[in-house]
Amino acid sequence: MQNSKSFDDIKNSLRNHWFKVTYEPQIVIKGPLTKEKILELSEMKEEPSWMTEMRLKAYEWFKKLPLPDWGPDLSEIDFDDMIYYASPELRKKPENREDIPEYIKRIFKKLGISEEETKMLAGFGLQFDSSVVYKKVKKYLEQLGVIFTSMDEAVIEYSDIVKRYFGKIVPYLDNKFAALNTAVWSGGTFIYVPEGVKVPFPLHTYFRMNLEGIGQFERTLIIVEKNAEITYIEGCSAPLYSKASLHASVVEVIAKENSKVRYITLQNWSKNVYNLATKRAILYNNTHGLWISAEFGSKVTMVYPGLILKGNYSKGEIYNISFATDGQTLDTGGKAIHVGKNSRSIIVSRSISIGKEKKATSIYRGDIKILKGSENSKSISQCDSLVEGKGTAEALPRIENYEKSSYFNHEAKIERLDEDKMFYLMARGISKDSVRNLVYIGFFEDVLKKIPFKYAMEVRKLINLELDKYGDTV
Amino acid sequence: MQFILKTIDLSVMKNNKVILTGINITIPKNKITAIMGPNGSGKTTLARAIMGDPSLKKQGKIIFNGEDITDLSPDEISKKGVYLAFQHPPEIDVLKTRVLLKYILNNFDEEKLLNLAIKYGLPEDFLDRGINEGFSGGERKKMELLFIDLLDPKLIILDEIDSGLDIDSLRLINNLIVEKIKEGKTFMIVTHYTRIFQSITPDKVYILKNGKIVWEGASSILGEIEKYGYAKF
Repeated sequence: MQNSKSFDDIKNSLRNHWFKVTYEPQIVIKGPLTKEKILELSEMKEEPSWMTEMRLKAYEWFKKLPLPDWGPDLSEIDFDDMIYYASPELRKKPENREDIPEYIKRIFKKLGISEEETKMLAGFGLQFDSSVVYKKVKKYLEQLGVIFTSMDEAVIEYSDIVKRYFGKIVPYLDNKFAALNTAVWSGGTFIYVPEGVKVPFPLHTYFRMNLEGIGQFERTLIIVEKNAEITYIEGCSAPLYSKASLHASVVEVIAKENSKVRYITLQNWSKNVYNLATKRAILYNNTHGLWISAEFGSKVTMVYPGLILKGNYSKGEIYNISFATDGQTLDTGGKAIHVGKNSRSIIVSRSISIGKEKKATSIYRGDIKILKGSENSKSISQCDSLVEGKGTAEALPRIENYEKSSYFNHEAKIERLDEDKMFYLMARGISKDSVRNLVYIGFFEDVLKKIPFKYAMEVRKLINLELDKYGDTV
Repeated sequence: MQFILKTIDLSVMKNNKVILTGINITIPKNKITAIMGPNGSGKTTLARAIMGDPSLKKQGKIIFNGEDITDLSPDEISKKGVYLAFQHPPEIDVLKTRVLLKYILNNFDEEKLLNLAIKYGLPEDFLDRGINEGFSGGERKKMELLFIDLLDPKLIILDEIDSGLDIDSLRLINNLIVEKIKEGKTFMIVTHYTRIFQSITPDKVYILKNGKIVWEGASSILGEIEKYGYAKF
């Protein structure tokens, strides 16, 4: 998509296909996975042959690759007894509001989310096409030439461009779950931002007309051309109830010269989910890439957003906040590979673990490599953990520097909010609840500042809700 | 004499262990009262019990300004006008001093706070640090003093405030006590040593030993403690 002609083509097809809803026969793909089942999925989606082939190759690797021999225990995941795909009509959808679990409704209410949004967030198809906001957003993006659509549609409508980038940043042999995702992916987002276009507001999954709802094996690809800018927000702070036990997504971001990309994830899966995502961005000369994540939900999360700092003067930042309560293991952190000269990486991780009755675990895992030739580069990582009650935290940084002129620094701190500290602060005239709010929200504050105001407010509310529920161990 | 605080048959337990039994003390208003005794006698527990330490179990009563505060939480007791300068103030890195003070103070005046930092010899970047972050033992004690100016309490309890402080800082404490007494405040000074009473004289002295009050009277006893320690009590 280098010249303006193809750019116009994109604009035209965008107009024609924005609302195109492809008819999907009703199918369900259950484990154990086979080659035939993957073929069936690809055929049903009427995909180009290159995608079918890639799915099959990825499937072979999925079979070969072992589960990670480090990190949280994943042995409970039963790949043979799992639904890999169900067409939207067949998914168990609550028929009306009464079917939404009461606790979720209560939380929605507290978060100030409307009835309409509640339905959508609880896994219904969303009906945003009738809303004024949605129409405005759609028209505006069309004028800019930005493509913002589901990955399923993009593979068909923008096959050439997708083919060029799909699986290039996160190849299927990267890890078992990237292989699985590539083999069975469905849903997810495709964004293309043409050269010089700065999208002035964050694009949110909310805006995307998508019958898929939130998928189990989402696939997201974002391409930002030279001098372009975008902020993308996935997920939401409201809890997402999912019946599926495994969610393995892949996100690939390509940031061309002088561009800026901000990718924000608000993760609040219900607490039965294994959330294993592979996210990676490649940053060319003079780019600025940011991964910002707030991880609240899931039973087990393993997410380490990656930066390939390929370009000179590329700058990548990773900000994670995570909040683990009873029974959760949130294993997060970041990866950075410095290739270009004068590249910068910053990883800031803040975790809170509060275990009231059960263990709550936060783990920071960092993996930083400064390659030879990446002169005058700099990597800074900082990991702070706050634990309370049965909460625990661990910091596991790994840093390799092969370039003498470059510099790295890592700091880790774990602090326990104990009775004595609580008493000390209360003795200064602050109630217990206020101490909690000051400490916990204050603890996340410099990361929350990186998130657009509206979403930061949601996260703050969510912290308060979690504190109401779990925060009484001291 | 008018009193500001009084304990009635106060007994205190921690982790099912009795630390204090049958404590009856009366703290006269606008005066300096010393609570003295050997290590492990229960002095700090008494100070913390008055402040409402939730880890302590109490029997008996604590009356402050004519009100029963025995079962109040530390924040409520603080709001009534009691302040405890901790013996070992904790370091709380995750909470920035600025955030805490903005919450506590109705009027957050950065310049005034910096002047206070200078007055007490604290690092000028203290607002941007966690609470007591990177502070020496002496600096932590000075921070405790600074809180007196901020919270403006009626009863000020100093728990071993002079430990870890040099002569200059000791003078600072003396000046502060004199100044606050003039303003009508009351002091309860918990200490093992007589050092702090070299230039200020307590109006009343209690001696605590094995969790009981074993002596009460005037400051003339200080000389004896200085010479012979607590053995004779």
